[in-house]
Amino acid sequence: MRLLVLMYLLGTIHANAAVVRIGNGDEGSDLEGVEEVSSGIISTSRTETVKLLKSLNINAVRGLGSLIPEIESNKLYLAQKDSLELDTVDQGSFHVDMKGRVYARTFSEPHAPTRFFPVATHLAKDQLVALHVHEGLHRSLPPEIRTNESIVSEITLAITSPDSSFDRVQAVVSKYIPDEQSGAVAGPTPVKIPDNAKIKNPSEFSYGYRNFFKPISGTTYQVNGMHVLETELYPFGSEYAISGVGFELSLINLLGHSVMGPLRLNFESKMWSLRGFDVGFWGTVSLNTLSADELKTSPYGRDTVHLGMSIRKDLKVFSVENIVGYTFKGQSIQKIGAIPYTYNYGGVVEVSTHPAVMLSNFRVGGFLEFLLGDGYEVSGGAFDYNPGRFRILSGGPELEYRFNSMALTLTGRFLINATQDASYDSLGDLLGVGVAQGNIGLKWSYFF
Amino acid sequence: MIQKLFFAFLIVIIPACGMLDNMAVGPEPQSYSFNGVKLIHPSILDGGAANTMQQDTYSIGGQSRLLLRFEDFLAKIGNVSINSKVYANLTLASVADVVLAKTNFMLCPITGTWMMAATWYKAYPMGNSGTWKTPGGDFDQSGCVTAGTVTDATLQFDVTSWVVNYVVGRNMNYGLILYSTSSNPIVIEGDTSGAFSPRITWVKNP
Repeated sequence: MRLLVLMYLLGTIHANAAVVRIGNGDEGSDLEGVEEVSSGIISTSRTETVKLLKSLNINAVRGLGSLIPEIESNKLYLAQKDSLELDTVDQGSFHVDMKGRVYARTFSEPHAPTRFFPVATHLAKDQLVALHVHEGLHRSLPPEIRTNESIVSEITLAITSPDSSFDRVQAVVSKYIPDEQSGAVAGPTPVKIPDNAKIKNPSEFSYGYRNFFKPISGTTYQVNGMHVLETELYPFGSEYAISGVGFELSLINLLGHSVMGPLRLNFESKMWSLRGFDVGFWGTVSLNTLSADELKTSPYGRDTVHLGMSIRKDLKVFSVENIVGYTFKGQSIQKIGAIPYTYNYGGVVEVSTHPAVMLSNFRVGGFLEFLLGDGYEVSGGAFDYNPGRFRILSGGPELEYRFNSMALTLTGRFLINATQDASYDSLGDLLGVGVAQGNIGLKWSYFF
Repeated sequence: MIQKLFFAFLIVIIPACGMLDNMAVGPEPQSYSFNGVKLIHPSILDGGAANTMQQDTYSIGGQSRLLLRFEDFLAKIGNVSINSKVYANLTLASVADVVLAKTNFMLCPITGTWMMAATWYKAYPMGNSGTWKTPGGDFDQSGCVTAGTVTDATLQFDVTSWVVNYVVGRNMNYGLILYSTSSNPIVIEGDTSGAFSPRITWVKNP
């Protein structure tokens, strides 16, 4: 008989399902008077409910993590008299009987008490278990769905049906709480992105100049400075994950004249993680633009391919960005006199951290970078120079002033420590770390 | 008739080929231009300066010195006998300088590696290890030689000891440095000279 009643209740769920607010109505129905329940079938059925939920490992079901504590700690009250169904409040067969008498009411918010009505004491224990689950779901499900009577009823069914299992409950719940809300991966989320996050205005147009200092004595190709025009556009993606393409054009100043520097193509994706981090992945290809004749004099006439990842966190007054990257090996040939010299640049691993403090419109920070290069070798004729693996530790200030959508950035790069003979020349990456033993740069940027 | 002519042809040609073959295995004089020729001077700091290499002439004297290397020497020298003589030949632009050059030119074994980007201070422009221990080039003073035979304006230096001690003995082809003990400049033919470029000669044994 109890089973028939339960099946009747379950069977009418969808017919009566509608979005409702669970709580007191008007028309004097809240004058019923209550007393706290600490024993009796309502109390013991709650214990049975908790036992059932634990046996189903409900805690591990996405979105139901707070159901057991919500039911266990819920304050139960018993009204002095029955209350009739209210159209705007008590829709759904879990709340009322066939005569329109209400079994129980609660508010759809965490820790709200539950009021049972005398008619509920005539329900069987398994019916009361379903009632506890149903009312508990109203309080513990995510806010977007907890007031949806249809969804709450379907999940109640999945939990209280005689052949219920963890997988069944999981399957039903996952229809209404998709993966994106679990916080497992980045993607469309309800997390609010701060206005100052890089992902908000990722596209950039900029011009900068870098002045290289302390060239290695006797160098055959002294680069004094470099103009760089850069543009990055992000036309693809959503609010939380974007992709873009950009390029950098450079003009390098040599002793007494200027030549075209490398052309760099950038492919970058940025995303906003649920934990509030700016995450970027990029690949760059720097293409040498020198002619064969100009190349004869340059040890830097090579193409470079670089892959990297950045993670950035902006807090109110503090910001930090970590970068990990790898530059693939490459080669260039420089002819000096009658002898062609081959420069073999090995792969380079790069790790760096960029902390900063926000002071009004200023971002005052710096960076520390570790470069680990492999296999640098210069050979030609009877000459062979092979220092093998090398390290370069760099650091310098990074000062940025932001106004409207623009920024003025002053940077410095200094070689702090390196293995013997290693300098930025050992990397042959003009548009990356540059050359000589450091540089000072000034850059104007417009973000949109 | 044709058959007789054919056999007669074989009888004549085959021994002739054998004679040619025997001639080919005799001692072979070798002569190569130094292809790594670099002028260094304290005032020239740019290793890639165009006036320090591939010139028609070089002026040697005072603090101007010339680095000389036949880059492929190790590959070409082969089985040189220790009793063979190896010579470096330098031709002066003017016969009038022969006496001065014969007295003052010193040709010495360089003791460290260098490249064509070398300067007075640097053997190569990569970090500190490329700095000459002694500005002006590191060389073996005891291995220096002066000119021996002179033919017209060409001075012949016997560099056999350098070959034995460095090239063959240590497999090190760092080349030679030419300097003058006189402050008077002496002009020699450069590496772009067709017939009179600085040369290294030896006789290759079978």
